[in-house]
Amino acid sequence: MKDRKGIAIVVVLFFAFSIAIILFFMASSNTNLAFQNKQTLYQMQAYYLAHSAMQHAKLQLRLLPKETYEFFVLGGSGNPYRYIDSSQYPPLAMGVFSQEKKTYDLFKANKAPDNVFPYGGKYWVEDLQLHGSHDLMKMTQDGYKILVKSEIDGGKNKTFSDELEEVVIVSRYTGGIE
Amino acid sequence: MNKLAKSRTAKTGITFVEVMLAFLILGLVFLPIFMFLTGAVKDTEKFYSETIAISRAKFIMDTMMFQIPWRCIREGNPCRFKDPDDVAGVNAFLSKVVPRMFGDGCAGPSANSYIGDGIFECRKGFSYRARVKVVDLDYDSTSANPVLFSIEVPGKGMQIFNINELAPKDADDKYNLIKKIVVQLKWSNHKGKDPNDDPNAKSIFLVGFKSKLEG
Repeated sequence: MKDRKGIAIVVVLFFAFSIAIILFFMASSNTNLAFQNKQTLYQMQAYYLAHSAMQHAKLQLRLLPKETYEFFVLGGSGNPYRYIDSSQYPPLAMGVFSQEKKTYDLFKANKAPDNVFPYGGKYWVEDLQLHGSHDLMKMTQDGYKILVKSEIDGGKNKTFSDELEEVVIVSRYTGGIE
Repeated sequence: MNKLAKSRTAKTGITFVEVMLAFLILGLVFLPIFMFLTGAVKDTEKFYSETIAISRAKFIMDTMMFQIPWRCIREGNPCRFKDPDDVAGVNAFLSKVVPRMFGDGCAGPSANSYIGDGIFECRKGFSYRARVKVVDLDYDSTSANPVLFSIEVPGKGMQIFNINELAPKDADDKYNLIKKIVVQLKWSNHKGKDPNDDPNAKSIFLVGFKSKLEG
């Protein structure tokens, strides 16, 4: 008969190891879920700031289509919309993350003043290029390529950035946009 | 003879004490495992409720940034939704979409008007409150530090325009081109509990600036 002394310790170790592996994967799966939720939220916050930037750029293009076109035809260089930067205008400036932002609450009185934001961040127009013009058409139109960027600051290790690029066509004299 | 007698009288079975000891060891091993599993289930529900809040906040912000006409979003905490032009199609749209955004309690004081505030419950029984604050970044309220529209045209210098030079007054009698939108979703991790009554309620926020691109 074979000597089976010591088999019990092997079985116990195998059993313990298997349970440890299962627990590890369960714990990491929950940790991943928490991490993904946070990442999704920060990504969304940056995404809406990028869209805010794009809408701001389109608004200026709509309001100043002739001036924007003149910038390019009169030999302007660089980004004509470099002044669209939310950090430069107090009503749009979200600043950086602070303790005041941590207590921000729309449901509590005096916890959501008009000049305070629940997290920090900024957006700006990174680049604007004249893509082409249709001068021979009945309605004179210019095509522009807009690149905007955004950053959010929700605290330490809670930052995220995003960017958005769109080609838009604007009527040079009426500001109609497509 | 002596050897045979010894082997016959040797203890080869398992005593009651040994069995009890084995149960005790198993119990001690499984206790933290069950505690861990209970905690994991609770955590999963916590993350589920957070996912629901994120998803609803996204729905609210998407609808406000890209679907509801700029003129219908009115300043306040909570904000108001009312079409100043009283267009039937827009009123029908608001009547469908606003209750879906905020749940119960979003009916406004007058016909075809709504407020950006409400409470709803998910299928697992967690309660959520949704609220939106809108601030008009209009010329009068920001005149000390206004948002300017500027461009440097070669040969003509810097062209700077104030909001009141570029837009007529809106339905609220303001020179306004950009609205600040803040969405808050607040929820309790205790099923059926109103988040406003829970000191440990969780919150998430989204911020956006909606520009007037219509009309």
